[in-house]
Amino acid sequence: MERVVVTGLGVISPFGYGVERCKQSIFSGRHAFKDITRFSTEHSCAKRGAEAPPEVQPSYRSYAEYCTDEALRMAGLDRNEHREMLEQAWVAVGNLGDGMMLQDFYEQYVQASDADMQQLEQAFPVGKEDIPIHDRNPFQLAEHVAEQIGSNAPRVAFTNACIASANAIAYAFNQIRKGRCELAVAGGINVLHPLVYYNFDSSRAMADDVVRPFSSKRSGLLIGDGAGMLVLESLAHAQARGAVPLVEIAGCGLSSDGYHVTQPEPNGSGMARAMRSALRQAGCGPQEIDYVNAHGTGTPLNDKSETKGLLQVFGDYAYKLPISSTKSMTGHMLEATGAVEMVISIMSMLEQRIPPTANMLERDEELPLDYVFDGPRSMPLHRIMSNSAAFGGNNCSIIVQGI
Amino acid sequence: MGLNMDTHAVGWLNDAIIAEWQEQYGITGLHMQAVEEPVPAVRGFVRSPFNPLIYHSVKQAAAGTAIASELAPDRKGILLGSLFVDAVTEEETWKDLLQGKKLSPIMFPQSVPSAVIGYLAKELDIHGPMSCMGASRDGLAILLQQAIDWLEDDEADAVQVVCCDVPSIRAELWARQFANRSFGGGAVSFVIERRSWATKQGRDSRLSIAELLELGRESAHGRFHGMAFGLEE
Repeated sequence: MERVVVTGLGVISPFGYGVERCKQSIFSGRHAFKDITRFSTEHSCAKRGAEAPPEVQPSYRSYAEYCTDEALRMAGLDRNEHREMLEQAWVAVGNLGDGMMLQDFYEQYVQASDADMQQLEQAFPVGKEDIPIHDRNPFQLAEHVAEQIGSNAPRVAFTNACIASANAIAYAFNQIRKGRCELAVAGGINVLHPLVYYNFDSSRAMADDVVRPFSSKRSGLLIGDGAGMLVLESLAHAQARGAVPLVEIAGCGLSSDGYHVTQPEPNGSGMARAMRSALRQAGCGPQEIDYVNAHGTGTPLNDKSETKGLLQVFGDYAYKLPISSTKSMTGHMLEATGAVEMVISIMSMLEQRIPPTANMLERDEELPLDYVFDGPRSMPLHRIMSNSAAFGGNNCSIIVQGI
Repeated sequence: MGLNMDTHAVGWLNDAIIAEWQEQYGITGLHMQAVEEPVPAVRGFVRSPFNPLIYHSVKQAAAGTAIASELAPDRKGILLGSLFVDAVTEEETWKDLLQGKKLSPIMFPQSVPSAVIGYLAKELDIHGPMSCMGASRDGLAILLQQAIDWLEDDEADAVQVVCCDVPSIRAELWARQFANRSFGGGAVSFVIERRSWATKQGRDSRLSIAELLELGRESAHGRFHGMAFGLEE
């Protein structure tokens, strides 16, 4: 099996564009929550979220392009100079399609919903050029990224909600590990749009003010803009072209709770299976993990379930293991959250510093672990685990290690 | 950007790989259903055929296979392949929104592809690997490879795969522009197991990997079915 390293990172977080801006904010413990400005919240109960500054027109394409470019630059890959390498690069992108630009389309569609196909084609002419509605198709974004880097290799979209981009990274890792490719670009995109916001609002899952993971006063999540793309390659390939590996991906694990459509399994057994599977693949024991970047949504059910899962896997060591939720600062970036949190985990490794869990009001007596409430913490970090969980009880854990 | 449905991604799937798959793995359960055929309603999933179709098709394919057996839950995996996911629920939600109606909380979970897979995982006691993927080129082969990876990596002994796409504005417009045909839709579900292991358990392959891949190629004819390849019209 090939060893797999990360050589490039690109990120958009609610703090802005680029790795540096994300790093500055995430280690300061500041959150990005404010009133939503991009669309009306007049009729919703929730009013807040974590919008990225509007430096460019937010869209899935613009986010993917920015992050892919930044990741390629960091990896020292030039689209012209390394055309042959990039042509063979696999692409994996977690996303559920761009909902941002579709309001106009659906406004027309509602008018035309009883129309026959001929009338519909008149309203939305099918020609040689793309029409915006195609960007709502998840696979289309993987196609865009492949086109952007000049790849002619397989390109896959992952649609399993809040683990989609973690799963995309795990998938790319396994393709390289098994020797199917030398290079891959993987990550995920989420741009806040009214449909998903109102949907979350309808489920009463959102907090009133800020997200307070693992706190007794936690009342739910808030959604954030986010995107993260990573360049993964075999260690041999990176060394051969003189690239500097940032970290090694040691193992990944996927699991199913087999429990509920939306709720996590209360004992955390599903997430524990994903963590154990990642440890198995990484060939390391629980005590070799130095920090866990938790899924930590700030919902009453998730944080309790995840804590129980951590206790199952890490036993007594769980009490000594630093665990933090960076969603306390970024919010939940849905399909992009696993990729952005992987970028944050890699920053942690490179900085040898753990980002805190912000906004704690009062400890929850049922949650007894070390959630790094007291600000960023510098300490030696050799291996970091990043956890993600999704609707339907789909879980993903990824372990990165220093190199 | 143009996308020709008949193009393939470069250099990963070849005859040697298919021959190895053919020798090692078998399809022990199979169910195919066009979207026009009625399916029973599934509690908690409304106004769109996507989730009931997946539910019904998986239940049919799983019957008599390791997925429906006493196999340990953490030895079973489940995988969804879909290009357009539940575009119908999205259309219905937009309609409600633009007509000024309150959104029903039931519509949100059903719009997320992993939700119905999680529901099936509960009913079929599946605790092993789970994923939802979509690929417009070589989609079936990519799904097969993922399922086989789980078997090869000893993450599972049997994997339930379901491919589903249903008619929607998005699907129809995409099919007409890039696949140059109209959209059909439906579900294809199959169970893949190690051939030797299935035989030991007294289960024969209903279909070989090569036959399954051949079925996948049939989506080149007639209507485009998204990832629900090979449906007979």
